[in-house]
Amino acid sequence: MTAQPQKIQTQAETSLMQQFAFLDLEPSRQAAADRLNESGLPHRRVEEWKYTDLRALLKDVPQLASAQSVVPTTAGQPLVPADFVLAVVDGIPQDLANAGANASDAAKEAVSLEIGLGDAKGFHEKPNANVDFNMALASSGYVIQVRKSAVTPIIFIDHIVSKADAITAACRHSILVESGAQAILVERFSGPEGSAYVASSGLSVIVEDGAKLTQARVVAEGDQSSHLATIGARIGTDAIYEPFVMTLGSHLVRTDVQITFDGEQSHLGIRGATLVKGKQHTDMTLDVDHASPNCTSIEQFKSVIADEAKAVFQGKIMVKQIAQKTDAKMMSQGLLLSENGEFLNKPELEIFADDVVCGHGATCGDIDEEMLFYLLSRGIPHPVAEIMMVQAFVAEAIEDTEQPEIIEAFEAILADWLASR
Amino acid sequence: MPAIQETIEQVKEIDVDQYKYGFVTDIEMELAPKGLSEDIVRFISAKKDEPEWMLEWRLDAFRRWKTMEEPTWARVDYPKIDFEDLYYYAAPKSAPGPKSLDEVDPELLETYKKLGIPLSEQAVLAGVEGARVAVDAVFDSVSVVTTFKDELAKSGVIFCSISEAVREHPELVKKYLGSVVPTTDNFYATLNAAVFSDGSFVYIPKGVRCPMELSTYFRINEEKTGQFERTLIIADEGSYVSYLEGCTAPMRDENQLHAAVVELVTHDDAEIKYSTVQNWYPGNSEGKGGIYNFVTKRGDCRGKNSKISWTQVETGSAITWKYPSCILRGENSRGEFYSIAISNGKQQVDSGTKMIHLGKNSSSRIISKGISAGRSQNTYRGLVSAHRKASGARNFTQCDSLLIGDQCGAHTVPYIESKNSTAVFEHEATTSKISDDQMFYCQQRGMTDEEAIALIVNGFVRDVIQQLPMEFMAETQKLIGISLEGSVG
Repeated sequence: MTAQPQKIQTQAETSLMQQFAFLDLEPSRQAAADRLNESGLPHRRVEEWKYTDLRALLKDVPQLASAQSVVPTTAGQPLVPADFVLAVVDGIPQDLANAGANASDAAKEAVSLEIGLGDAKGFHEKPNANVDFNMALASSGYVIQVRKSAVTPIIFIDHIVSKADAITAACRHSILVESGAQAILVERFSGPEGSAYVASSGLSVIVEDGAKLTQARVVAEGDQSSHLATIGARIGTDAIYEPFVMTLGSHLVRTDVQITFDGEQSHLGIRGATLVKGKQHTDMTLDVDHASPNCTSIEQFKSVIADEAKAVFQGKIMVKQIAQKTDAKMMSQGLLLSENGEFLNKPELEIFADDVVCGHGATCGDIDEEMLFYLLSRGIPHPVAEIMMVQAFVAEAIEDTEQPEIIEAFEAILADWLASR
Repeated sequence: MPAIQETIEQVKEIDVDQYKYGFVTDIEMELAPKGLSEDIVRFISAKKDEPEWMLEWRLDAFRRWKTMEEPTWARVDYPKIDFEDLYYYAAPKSAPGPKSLDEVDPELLETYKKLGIPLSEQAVLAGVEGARVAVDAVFDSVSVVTTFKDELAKSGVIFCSISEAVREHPELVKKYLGSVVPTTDNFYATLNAAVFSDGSFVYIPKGVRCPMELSTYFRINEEKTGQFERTLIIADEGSYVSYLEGCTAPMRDENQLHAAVVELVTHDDAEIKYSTVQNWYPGNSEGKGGIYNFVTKRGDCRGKNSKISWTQVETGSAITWKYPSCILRGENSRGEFYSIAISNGKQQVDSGTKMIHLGKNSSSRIISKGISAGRSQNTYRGLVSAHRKASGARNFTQCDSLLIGDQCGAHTVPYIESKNSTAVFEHEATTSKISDDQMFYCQQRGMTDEEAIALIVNGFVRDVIQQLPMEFMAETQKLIGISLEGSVG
């Protein structure tokens, strides 16, 4: 006789379910809530969550902030000079009246902005707990549409959590870059220290034929918070998508990125830098679906781990049978600065086409003694030498961006992080 | 880039339809009743004349197994196995246990002759001067003969069937059996612990370098049988042994189950080199029949400077589910895994290794080459982990796959877990980083990158393969010739 294991709900699951019961959700959100209700939060026995046991790590899902309770706030100083400056406070998108104050007429012509939920066309059809979490909880966000024009508009979205009390802030944006258009999207996530808030962020990206989207994101949430983010993107023919994600903050970060190639001759260049210390846990999970022939992708991720922090990288490249002549290269590197840090790495390849060039590399270790000695022997003090080495290690991922102002902004963030260690 | 023609032709030659060992030996067999129950476990134990503690050990495992679920995480797909529809014990009537060569049924000797296994102690392998191999021949559920036993005994080496070891050397078996792969380890290992019928036992005493190659040859013959063998090899301080395993089965339309457990233990300064040429019947080109090969192989480097090296050449089986692993417990211990896995027809391979670094300065190397053709699926699944105390651990992994045709798939699922900052792990799935020095050396002698890589990789694979009996080499030689051109991650 085998005893049936009893399903015990955690505090986070209980409060999540209670909130779902209270909210009056429209069908697609209700479907996502139902799936979560059914499966509960993912745990280590679910392969995709093997290293990030959300059931154990997410202590609570506090009350969802509502539009009524949010005090209108404007965005802080943008990371880079931007044409459009948008603010999301406690998950609620703020008024668009002054968003394009700095924008030229051409930029205003090129970009249409709305508040709403938009569609989630960028996401895979595959079920994913992180996507469901966001789909069920997010009630609004920005719907951005970029039309073809002579300019490349820069859009900055500042995600702020304003309350010191723990809340749940959820939003989902969608960005559509129309055929032949180009855009730059810069995002920042921040919040108060010491507050155990939960931030859920969704972003649906469509890069149409011949279009290009460059994206740069910094996650610098409060030290006790949990940040659950999903990016779902579809790339058309002859299109380019180049996202960069820098993760510094939060007690717990999980970023799911799902990218699908819908057309031929397209390129994806995704890069990430993770800088963790204390007892932080960060997880970058990437799923690239080469569903069309003749596309190229480069995935490059760097993780710097200090103290007792833990960094997870899971990257999967799927090359479908039709996707001949695919060229995909994935590299994930970890630099452990302390004895008790952990780097957990799972680069995965699934290949069904025979005429392709695919590769992945993964390395992990501490600072190279010889290189360090080289710097020390030139009279550079140990802490400075160590900082130089870390800077050089991370810079590789940052410097691939074409925009010098973005490189500068992110290098400054890196320098601050190193100085604060 | 696509695979070159020469490679395609070489793979075709070892296609599933070319299986040479598919004949059936017509011999009177003694079978246990079909199905699995405590009575069957008692029956097997009684057949083997086992002491009470061994029976209890089996029954414990059996009770545990009944509470377990079949694993589904591997990338293989097969209809559910009916564990009640199998014979768990099948032995030639004329050979209830291993005996001297003169007493073995001539029909069995003929079978091994046909398979090219040298059972005669006088036989010297063609072309290899002075190379002698001691063989333990396992036919369905029993070991029929073990050669060179007396000569090995002179150096203190124990080489016998595991049933004999349970009776003759209970202190060693009690101490080591289940100490590397516990009875509760996984579904198939637990099943094996309950019903294992035979296998080989090797003990190399302190400071002895085993005077000859040891080998076990597994043959499944009877219909509807499962083969559950158990191998236990212990290398005491400062000893060395090279061990080879080979396996074949007749061509049958049904699927047959093979669930083995192999445990290796090395003490201080000892080394075990374990080589496998796995050539079970892979099924026909439509995927009908073939062996389900669900095997748990694990080595425990317990002592300082100990070393375990796994080499496998995998061409057979309808389904392979096998991860020869090393637990690197001892300081400076070393684990190696070299694998060539070729799948064709509708074969499914999910194989790889685990290198678990627990000891200081332990090092490991993984080289895996997967070649898939036809409509097969070939997956490398591996784990490299460094424990907090494993300072200075070092790993190098390289896994390349080659696809021939657009109906097959090649997959790589490595897990790399580092919990120690001084551990250095490198995982390469591209062909540019074998060893820069070696590459440079070859290149400056005018070789192209491809030639240089082929030379380096084949160099150490050949090193092991050359030590296999000549009869096995014909198959593996073909694999060696396979070019790496067109490899993908």
